Amino acid sequence: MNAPPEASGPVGRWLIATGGAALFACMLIGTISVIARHCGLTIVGDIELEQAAIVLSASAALVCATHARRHARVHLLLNRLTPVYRTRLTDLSAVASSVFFALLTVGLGMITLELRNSHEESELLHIPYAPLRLIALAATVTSATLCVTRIRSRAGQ
Amino acid sequence: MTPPAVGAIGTLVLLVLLTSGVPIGAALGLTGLGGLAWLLGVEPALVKSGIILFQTLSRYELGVLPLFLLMAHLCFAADASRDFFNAAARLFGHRPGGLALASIGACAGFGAISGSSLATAATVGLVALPEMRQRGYADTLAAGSVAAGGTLGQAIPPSAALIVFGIIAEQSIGRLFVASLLPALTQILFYFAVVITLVRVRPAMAPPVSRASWSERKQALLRIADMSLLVLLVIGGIALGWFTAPEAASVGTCGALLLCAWRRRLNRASLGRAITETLRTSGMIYLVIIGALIFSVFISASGVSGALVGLLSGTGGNHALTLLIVTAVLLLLGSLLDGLALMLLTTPLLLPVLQSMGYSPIWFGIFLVRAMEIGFVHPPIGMNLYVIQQIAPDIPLGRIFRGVLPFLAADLVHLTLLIAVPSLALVLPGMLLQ
Repeated sequence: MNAPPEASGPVGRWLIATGGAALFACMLIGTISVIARHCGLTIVGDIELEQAAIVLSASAALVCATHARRHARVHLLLNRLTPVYRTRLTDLSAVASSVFFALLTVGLGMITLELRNSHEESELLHIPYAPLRLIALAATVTSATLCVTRIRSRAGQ
Repeated sequence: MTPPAVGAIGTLVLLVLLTSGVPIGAALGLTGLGGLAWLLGVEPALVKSGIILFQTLSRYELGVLPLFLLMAHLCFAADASRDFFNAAARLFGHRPGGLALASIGACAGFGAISGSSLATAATVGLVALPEMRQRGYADTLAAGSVAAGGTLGQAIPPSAALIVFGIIAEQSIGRLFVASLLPALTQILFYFAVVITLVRVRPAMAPPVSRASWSERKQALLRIADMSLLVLLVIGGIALGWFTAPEAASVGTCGALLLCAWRRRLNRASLGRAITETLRTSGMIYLVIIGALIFSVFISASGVSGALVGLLSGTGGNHALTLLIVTAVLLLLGSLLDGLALMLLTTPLLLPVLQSMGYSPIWFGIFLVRAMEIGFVHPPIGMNLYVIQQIAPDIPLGRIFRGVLPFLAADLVHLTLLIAVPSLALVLPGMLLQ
């Protein structure tokens, strides 16, 4: 657990703040509902609230990991290559990542479009799903863009 | 081309992408998407991927992962690893090989918070390695005990690997946590036995250390009392049914936050660092899970698991032989792929095979994580070995590996025990979680 580099730029800081706030919301909702249950009280819709916070924190986490280039990869071959080939493979993996994020965006986009008039919402608190889908969509679009930007900036060097 | 053939080719393509350094999640997802597009058509494949993406990002059970990670980072900020090692060193340090035993004990203690092998080896190693070397311990014993002890991070709940397995295999995370308790305890005992045997054979490996006074021991134990209470509350709460695993993660994180504040370690910088690290690590795991679930749907649609069941039934229903083959495949792949990739590649392929033989998925989860841990301490991947070398760059990698070898042998015996006695993993969930 080495100290991480500081979150770069206002976007990075905003992401961390949003993701962190969502994490704390999850923590508080979970803890309060446990305490309430053991006191004989029931908090209606606690899981639905937590789910909404989880979408926010997970989406922020996905972008944070992409931004910090923290996605797990197998280094068996990479570590044994010359710098030239290593750079080429790294570029290839950035292309693969951006394609994957783009395909996920298309898939989720198709579902979001399909369900735009269905007014899907949670059972107890009636939290609408459409905005949550848009948050997830924003995360995949941003991640794909980050990967493409990385390839372009390397090509420009 | 038949669907099982497409499945087999997809698996090979995945191996090529993984070894080419493509992020594990993207490699799994692209292979799965490509395979599904081949088998079902492009549109169904894209829609299925979109559904998996949103279901994963909104999954309540998966909320445990970032929260347990945050709990670990907060405890790290509160200096948990140093305190655990100091307490264990004060208690066992004077015994033959005591500091090595203390390192393993500290790994178990910190592992009960961190859930990660690398984090456990790195944080405990930073404290324990210099101390052991300063007291004249052989490099092999010092490095070996920390590298092997580090794998306990993944064995003891809340293990990140077990959470990921629970999501992929659709098994109860709480049940997996409880099932891992006895195997983890026996693993610790096996490691203790290795240290005691090594020191008995070659006493020069671990010169005696002076005995700590009772007041020093009391002080060190008091220092970890709060942390131990938190660990007991989280693990005990799940085992006794006080709360579910996601609720335990919330309570544990809340406790860690209070503990950090109590120890005057909570400030803007430490909190920011904990949140940043938590988001980055959980984002990495989210992508891996999304990719793995897409790949898993592809494998299931291709019917390659069914073909594998048919192939393995050629062993004449000999369970021991099948398990031997499965273990050999896992250990072989474990020397090529990292733990997470190994789990995500093999779970959709092997779980149906073992389930068809009557094995419990809970047992398979524990078995798989155990096999993964072995990959952490043997070359060429052996991430824990590299972690130790980063902490002590003057110890050659070969010497670190020689130090790990006796522990690796104990790991293999322990894995055999887990195969021979599946109830080691299944008895506690059966007793506690009816």
